[in-house]
Amino acid sequence: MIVKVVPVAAVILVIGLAPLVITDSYTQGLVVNFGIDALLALGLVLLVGYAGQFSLAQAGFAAIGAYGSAIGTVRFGWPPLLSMVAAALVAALIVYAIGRPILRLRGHFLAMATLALGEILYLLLTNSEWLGGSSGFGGIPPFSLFGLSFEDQRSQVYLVLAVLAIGLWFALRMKSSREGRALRALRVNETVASAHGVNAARAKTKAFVLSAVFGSVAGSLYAHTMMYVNPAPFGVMHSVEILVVAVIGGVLSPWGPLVGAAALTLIRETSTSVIPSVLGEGAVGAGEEFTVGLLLILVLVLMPDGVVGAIGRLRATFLPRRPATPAEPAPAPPEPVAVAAPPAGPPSRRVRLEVSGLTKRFGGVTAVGDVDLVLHDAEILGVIGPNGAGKSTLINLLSGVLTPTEGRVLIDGEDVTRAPAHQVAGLGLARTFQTPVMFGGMSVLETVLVGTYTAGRTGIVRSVVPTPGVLREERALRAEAERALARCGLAHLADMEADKLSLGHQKVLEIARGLAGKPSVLLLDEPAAGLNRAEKQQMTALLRDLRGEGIALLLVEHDMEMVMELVDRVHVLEFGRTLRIGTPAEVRADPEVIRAYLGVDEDEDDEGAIRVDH
Amino acid sequence: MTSQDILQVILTGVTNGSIYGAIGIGFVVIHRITGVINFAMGDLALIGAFAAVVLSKMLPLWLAVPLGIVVAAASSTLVYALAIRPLRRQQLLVQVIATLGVAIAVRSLLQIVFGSGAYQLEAFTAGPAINLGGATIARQALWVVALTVVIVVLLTAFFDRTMLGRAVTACAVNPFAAGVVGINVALMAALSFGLAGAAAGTVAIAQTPLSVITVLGGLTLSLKGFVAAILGGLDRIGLTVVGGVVLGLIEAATTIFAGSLYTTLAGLTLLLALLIFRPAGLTRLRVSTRV
Amino acid sequence: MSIIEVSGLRFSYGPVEVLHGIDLKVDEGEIIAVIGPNGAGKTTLLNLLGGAYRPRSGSITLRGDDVTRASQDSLVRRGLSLVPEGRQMFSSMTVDDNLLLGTYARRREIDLDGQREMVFELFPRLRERRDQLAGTLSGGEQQMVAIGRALMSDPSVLLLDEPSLGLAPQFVDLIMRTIRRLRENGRTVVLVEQNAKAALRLADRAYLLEIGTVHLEGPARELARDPRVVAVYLGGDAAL
Repeated sequence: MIVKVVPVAAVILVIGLAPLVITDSYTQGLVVNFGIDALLALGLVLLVGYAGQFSLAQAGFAAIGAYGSAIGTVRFGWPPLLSMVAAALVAALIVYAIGRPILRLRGHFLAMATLALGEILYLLLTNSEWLGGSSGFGGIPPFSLFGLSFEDQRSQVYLVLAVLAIGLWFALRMKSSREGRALRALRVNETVASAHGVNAARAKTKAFVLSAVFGSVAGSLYAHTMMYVNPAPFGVMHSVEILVVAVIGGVLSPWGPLVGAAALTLIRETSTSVIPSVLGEGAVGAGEEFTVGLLLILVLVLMPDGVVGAIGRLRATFLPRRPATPAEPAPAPPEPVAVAAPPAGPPSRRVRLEVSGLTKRFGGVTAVGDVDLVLHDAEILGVIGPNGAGKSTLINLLSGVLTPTEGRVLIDGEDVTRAPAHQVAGLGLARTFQTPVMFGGMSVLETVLVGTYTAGRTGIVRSVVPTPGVLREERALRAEAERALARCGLAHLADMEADKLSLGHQKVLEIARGLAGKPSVLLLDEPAAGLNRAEKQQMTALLRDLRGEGIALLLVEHDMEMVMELVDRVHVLEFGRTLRIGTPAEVRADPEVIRAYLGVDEDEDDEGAIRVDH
Repeated sequence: MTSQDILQVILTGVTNGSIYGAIGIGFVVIHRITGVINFAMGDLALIGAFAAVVLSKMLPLWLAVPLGIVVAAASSTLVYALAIRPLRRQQLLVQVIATLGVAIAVRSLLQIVFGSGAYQLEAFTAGPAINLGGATIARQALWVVALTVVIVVLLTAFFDRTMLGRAVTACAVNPFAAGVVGINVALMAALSFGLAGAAAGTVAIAQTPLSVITVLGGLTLSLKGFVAAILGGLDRIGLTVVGGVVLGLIEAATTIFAGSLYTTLAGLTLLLALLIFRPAGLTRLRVSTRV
Repeated sequence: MSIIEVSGLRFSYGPVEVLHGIDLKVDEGEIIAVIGPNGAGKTTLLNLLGGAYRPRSGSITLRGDDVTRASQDSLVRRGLSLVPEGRQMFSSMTVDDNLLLGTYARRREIDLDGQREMVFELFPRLRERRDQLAGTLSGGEQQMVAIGRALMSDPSVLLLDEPSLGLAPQFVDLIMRTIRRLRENGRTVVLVEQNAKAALRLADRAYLLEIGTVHLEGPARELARDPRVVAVYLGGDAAL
């Protein structure tokens, strides 16, 4: 808690004191500019840092805000707050219309689309006679709220810093909220985030809309402090500068834009004072731009996570907050094995997963062909087969990452054949991945919290205001995550950074993350791969316990010892088709299975052939 | 609207479209091999044009132009070495942002050196504009179109017929396999930047006698070239030029029928519409909608 | 003298070590089989030998020269070619172009026509398919292209990664016979196979890998009879 209180107190102190200390109007102007730049960049951080995309229309959104406020107050006589909100709505709508289709695409289409959008807005403003063309128009009243007017420059400093503080609060709250965690997970790995119920395109669009709203609000503030608007400050160059501010500060932390905006202010000031003496009066703008461009490249090459990221790493190096390897707790008390399921369950057991005629073709290649499969409560079904047999494809089909060409998949009787991954997750199916995917920068507990996504409802905006309902849900999700961690014996690692864990712990953590969504079916993609003997034994014990609790487990695994020891039934695939289904003992002795694994036996004499003792 | 107007739209559209197409080829060549969208493409082309302008003051034109192309190619390669290669372990996003930094740095450097005035190069062949059924086309415009055609032919031949060209393509098709047969993938990426710079630079130089150049023109060139590249699916050299011509025609028609105020607006709107409705451009390539 | 010597080779993907110190040697003219279940590290080992990955520690020598950190290009020029797992075609290029690119590293020394003739003799099917796009070929034909492409640089050592993977039995047979012929032409072959029977029938010596370590090594015939091989593949008491 101390960690949270200190920065908040510091911010309040700065906002309270800054206007008292800074009394000359020049510096006050600088602070206002700094605040507006930081707010714009903060919006961008929501997009780049949380959703992994970048926009070059941030100045364009500021233009919408600025002109919206100007038109609203001057032309329509609306109060400033109403104008500001209306402008932000317009920005949000435009972004929604553009973001929905483009954010589905991979690559850098968004960057180009926003670049075009920014230019279009700029040209429209420049060409519009109604808005005064390139010279703009003035007469904008100062911002006022509840009869309070922000007229003199000192009150404007208060206003801008206060809005910035609200923005910062928003970004910080969002970062540790349900949707914020989902976005951060999305940024690292879309497939994994979707597997926990996150609708990627929608989440990204939300982040984009928010970033535009931040931009628009900053623009409104600009209009009310300058009391005059013209198109010049809203060109693409300013969008790029805002990106630079975000990158310099670091796009992964809401504090980054503050550092970045301060740096940009410093560059501007230095440029204005130094460049004229070196390159002449005319080169000020160009010199400043050059510095900005060069700085952008240097920061990317030397410290890609920005100043705040670099500070974070230094702090981690010199001031490790937690012991690097927390002490293992006393061996956990043996779990009560109350309902150890009998290997061959009674027929009354519920069917959790039912698959029929499942087929997936890639071009002419049939990766999975006509597979039937049934998975019950409290059962472990092993799926084995030589390399290329289609095991991973099968898991991807079941979890909605791939759509089947033919066949049907039912979870608890519900048809999910064509459902995308995030919907399948909501229906009680969880999965792990061959190589564990950790979300960089998240603690173990946060990682598992991502797994509770489907259990929550709080959206981004609601999460910002800590109402009792919001807090209650967050507490419930936390409790669920802690339960899942404890269940898997990882409770003592909750505060560790997830990607610093050993492979063995990461593999268990993936299972905990899956369990946090309270699934009825858990698909495990090679949970033992890369584990040492002791870790494998722990994994085996954990899976056995999960079965005991009634979860239906589908286990794809190459470690035959583990498979044979653990599973109730084995489903053998070869060339995507079912080769054999049986108990471990039956399958292991089956000549067809041995052939599939060890090769074709077409020798007439058995010299050099492998004999199998039954 | 007269048939004369239509002919003029076609002549202007094809000329400008060739320029956009050539810049677009720059985008395509780099994107195919490295996956990077190079925001600095237009500015790098301008480096070539400014170099040619400077060199033409001390050298004959027939020497200044090729040297200008070399400068554009070399700058582009240098950008790869200094700004892209060091970021090879980062996400593509980071590399793309870096090209943005390059674009700003290049533009402001040009501005520091040349100021914001307009520059021009003398025409490659002197003579009055050619009259074609009432419409006119400058002799230099023929150079622009012809050089674009030459670029398409040469690059296509290079990629399809030569060992080195196949090696570059191989890196685009399957970088792992390219490494296996001993192709230096980084070298090929540098080469693709060089080729892109040369292609874009050539046409940027050729259009300098036609209309003036200013240091601020790079961004516009980049945007229009990108429209062409998107229409070419960010993959096909020939289709990119077709895409450039489509944009050129739309712009020329807009200029005549709606006024020059809306020329750029038409192009940008086309870009935005393409990205939203048809990101694969004129191709049938699948632009994946899921990651 | 050994043509390849590997000692103490370790490799990690990020924090995960997948090879825990491999020792291996290959003599001139031998066929060496590297077998083992999935996830044993066979492909990683071969990619290290072929220069596609850099080891964390340990050393690799080729004819006595240290090539631990040699570039792929220099390895091909020294006569070592890799046929990677999954065939790794230049799928949108023709068979001819795929073969041509096989000579890339030695393009100045190789007699292109002669070498291509040699490959076509080995795989007559490819002559018929030479103008077809590699991506449109069947799996077996793609494997021929992959091996053919590696042979275009006239290697003395050929590293083959799972050439029989996913192939129908008659193709497996053809590939195995081809490997035998390559050895008869004086080439050394390192063969990574999950298909242990076929590999052991063909090889002189073999290494059985399990979770990143050499579990067994010896003459292929002896390994073929060793019940521990089955145990490693399918689990069971014998593995202990």
